[in-house]
Amino acid sequence: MQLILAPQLNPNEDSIYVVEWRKGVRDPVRRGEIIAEVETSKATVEVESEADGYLIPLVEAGKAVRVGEPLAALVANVDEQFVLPDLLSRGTTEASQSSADKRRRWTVKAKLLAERNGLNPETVEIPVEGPGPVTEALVQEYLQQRVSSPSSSLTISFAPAKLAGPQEDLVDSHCPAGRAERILILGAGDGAVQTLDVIRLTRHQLAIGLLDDNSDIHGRTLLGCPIVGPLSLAKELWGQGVFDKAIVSISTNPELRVDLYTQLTSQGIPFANVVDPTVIIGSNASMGSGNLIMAFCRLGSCATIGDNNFLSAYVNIEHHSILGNHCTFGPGVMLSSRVRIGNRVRLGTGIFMEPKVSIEDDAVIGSGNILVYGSRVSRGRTIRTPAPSAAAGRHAME
Amino acid sequence: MKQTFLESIRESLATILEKNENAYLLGEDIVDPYGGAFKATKGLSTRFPDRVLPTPISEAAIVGVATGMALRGNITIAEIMFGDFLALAADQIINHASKLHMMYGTQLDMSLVIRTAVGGGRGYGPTHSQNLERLFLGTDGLQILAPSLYHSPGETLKEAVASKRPTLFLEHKLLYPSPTKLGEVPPLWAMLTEGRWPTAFVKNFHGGSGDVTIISYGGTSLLVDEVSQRMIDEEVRITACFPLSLNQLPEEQVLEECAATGRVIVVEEGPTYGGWSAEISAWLHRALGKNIRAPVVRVGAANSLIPNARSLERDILPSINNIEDAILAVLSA
Amino acid sequence: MTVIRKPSRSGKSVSDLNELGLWLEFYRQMYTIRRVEETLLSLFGQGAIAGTIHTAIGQEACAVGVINALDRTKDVVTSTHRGHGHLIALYDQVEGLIAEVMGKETGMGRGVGGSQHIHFRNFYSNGILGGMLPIAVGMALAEKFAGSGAIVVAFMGDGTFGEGVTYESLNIAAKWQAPVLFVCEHNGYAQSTPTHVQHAGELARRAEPFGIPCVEVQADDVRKVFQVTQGLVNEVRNHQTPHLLLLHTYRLAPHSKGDDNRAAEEIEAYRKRDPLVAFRSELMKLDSKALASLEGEIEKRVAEAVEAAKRAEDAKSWLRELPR
Repeated sequence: MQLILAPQLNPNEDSIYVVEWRKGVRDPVRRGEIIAEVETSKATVEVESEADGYLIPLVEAGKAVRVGEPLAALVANVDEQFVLPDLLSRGTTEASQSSADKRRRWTVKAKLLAERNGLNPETVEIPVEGPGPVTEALVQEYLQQRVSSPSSSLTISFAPAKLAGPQEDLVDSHCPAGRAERILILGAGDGAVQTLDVIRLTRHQLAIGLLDDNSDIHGRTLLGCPIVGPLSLAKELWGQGVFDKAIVSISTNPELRVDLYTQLTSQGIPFANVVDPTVIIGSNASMGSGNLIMAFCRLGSCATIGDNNFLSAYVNIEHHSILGNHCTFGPGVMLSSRVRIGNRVRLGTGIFMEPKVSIEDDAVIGSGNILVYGSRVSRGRTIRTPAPSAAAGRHAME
Repeated sequence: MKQTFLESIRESLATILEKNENAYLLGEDIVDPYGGAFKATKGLSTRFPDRVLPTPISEAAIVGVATGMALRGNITIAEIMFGDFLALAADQIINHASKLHMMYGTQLDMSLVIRTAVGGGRGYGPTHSQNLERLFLGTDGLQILAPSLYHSPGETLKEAVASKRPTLFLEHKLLYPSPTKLGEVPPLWAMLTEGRWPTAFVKNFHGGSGDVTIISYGGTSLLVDEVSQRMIDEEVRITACFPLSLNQLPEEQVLEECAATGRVIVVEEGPTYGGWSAEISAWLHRALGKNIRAPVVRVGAANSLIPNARSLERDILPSINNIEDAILAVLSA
Repeated sequence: MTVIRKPSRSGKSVSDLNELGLWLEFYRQMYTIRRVEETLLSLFGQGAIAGTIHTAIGQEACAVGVINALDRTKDVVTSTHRGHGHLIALYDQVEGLIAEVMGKETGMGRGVGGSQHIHFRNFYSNGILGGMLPIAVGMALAEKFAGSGAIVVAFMGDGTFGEGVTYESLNIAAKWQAPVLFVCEHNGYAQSTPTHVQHAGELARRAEPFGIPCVEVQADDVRKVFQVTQGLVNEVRNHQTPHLLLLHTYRLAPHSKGDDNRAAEEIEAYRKRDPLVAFRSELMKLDSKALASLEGEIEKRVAEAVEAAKRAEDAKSWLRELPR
């Protein structure tokens, strides 16, 4: 048996079209005899037989074939059995893949989602019905089930008090869809009290414990929620799967606030936004994660806030304003529209900002300041609280 | 058999010659029976013997003569056999064709199109495979058009003539035999923006927003097309944007598409250093601001010459694998 | 004789002039070129001009002799960095040129082109050596294909023979029989480099192998240049074949402002045989009164053009508004 390969007719084309076969199936042909007419975009060319034999066309007329792939075969006898040899490398790869690797294929999106949630696609078994690959939706489903079903291996090595989160719940265990997000609160001071209050008012979150580095209070409770141990315990608890998201309740130590958020997120621990139900959020406003927003705050339409900010009560982030990360607000900070606030900015109580004020990273604004239209506070600068006598009319401006 | 890229150009050239008695084609080896190195003018000298003019091997003079004829009211289409030879005509393009219509205190009409076959992938080696449009990107007064798989090169050519502006028209060698993908192109969806130089938007999904935006032009549309098809099985939703005009930033719609995904890859065939993709990336980073979710990734040739051997050429030129790696990089960021 | 139509400032067409009238008109053009360029050099010295200027002081007989042999209604001229004289001889554009070189909104190119980049009707100049030659060939072909009977004159210098595109252009012009007259003003220097230092062989024989006839003229007398050009223009127009006219001349001023390192004695020797001065002495004997009034008029015109340009507003940018 001899193969006739599709010829390279010019350097600019990868494939040729078979216009017609001049000989029929198993017709006898002589070396040099025309067997087919093929076409490129430039010319029509006749293909000659390379040897004597009986012709077996391998490409239908009107179809294209890649240059170098079989166009026809010649067999020595008219009734000789013909088998196309496995010439194509991709055929062999597919064969070896199917035998050597029985594991089901994961889509790129499924893998990424799994890896982001600490699953190893190499080892995790996700059930799939039918022949398809492991999809993003299946991983999503798997993750939801993992979160909502009680972990049988749940043990807490360091647990002076019983966690408030239910181990077995008569409703939730059977109907996991409405399961609340289990929140671990970092810090057990005044901020934590406020945080617990907010969480208590929401239906979709449940405080399951607090961590604090003050060992004197370990084992005690705060508004009924157990103070489990030091902040360093967060990673271990995450490994045990006892909480879904964390929140930093500390507002008085900004450096610690930044460290906790950045370290834990880098370890893959997700952060919740804890938002009081009285907060009003406008259209197209957006928020990162780890934000703590107290009662009667408002995000105007199209306002954007980053991650890990602490907004005390009555803070107004007016429309189209942009807030960075790790900022802390005292009560009653009033932004007008299109204000821009950078990262790690600390704001006191009762501050007013006119439109288009811009505050750069690490600035500190004392209570009672009024920032006029378009003013800019440069990086790291501190604007002190105005003296009481002049406070009413004080304008801070650069 | 659908019309190929090459056939679309050839048919358009015939139409231009037929409809305009003042239209001329100039170039090396363009007359029958040879019909041009890439056969774009095959048959035309037989039909229009007085207006298809075979030139000596004088690229500067080809562009210069065509410029002079166009300045005096003709439509001239010059063929530069390989894009690499644009270097021989660079002075005529940069200091004459792109200046004369602008530097005399008023705008002069000039229907001049310089067609040229560009790009690698055919094993032509270091001096017959380049994408030299980068050399002309900063030359104002020169329109640079690079139709992709999703544009009709023939219609683009007619528009270029109608625009009465000097135009560098880039035809990628790999596109010549490809049937153009206009209208329905399952499994992808393609649409063109409005306007004289439309950007082609090609999606591998229906409804909702995408995961990744790929911006590319001309010949690399073939790679992006292949990757977009493959990514359907990987659930990665891709919107590919192929601008037609390279001497200006793409339309607002491209920016909106990029803002929606925040993950953008810019692909070109030339080396990335100092290339078109650098300009596009700088634009995206400035214009998208916070909407960027991953740094823009650029895919292009290695900063080297284009070797002749198949294995070496594959190693230098951007590949499907490079684009897939880029997709993973922006999705993981 | 070639039909020459040129509305002179006296309102007469050149073809209507008697011999003396024609000579006075040639002198008027030459003197205008001389005074405009001297004035531009002085304005440059005062800092009123951006960039540089290339003058053809001493070469006026070339521009005037060649241009007056053309049909101003249809012939086309391409020019070089040293092109003020060609423009003035062809279209008598003094006010627009001065304003353009001074960067004014009233300039003929609204300040975009400046001295080296000027277009007016059928006149096109560019500052790249040899760059306009293939364009001139293309323009000549356009006229040929349109059957207009117009020809193209492509000015160049001796330095242009160093550019490769020159030979591409000569070849195509000859092969396609383009009605183009290449006019080389051979002033002996390419910027600072004398011809013999840079060119091998003879410039007069450069076009010969392409089958392009070359005529050499010592351009000391504008009438001689005019006469020879008339003959060549007829050849080019009637037989649709390219020709080369090689004019031997000398530039009395620097290449551009302030870059002259030629020997003072050499320049002085040429200054003594300045074609403008020689022509003037001859005309003085024939009609000194007409000459004096003509010169007075030109002085006044140039001075007024400068004053008007100084008062005009600076060129305003419109380039940014062009569609991209």
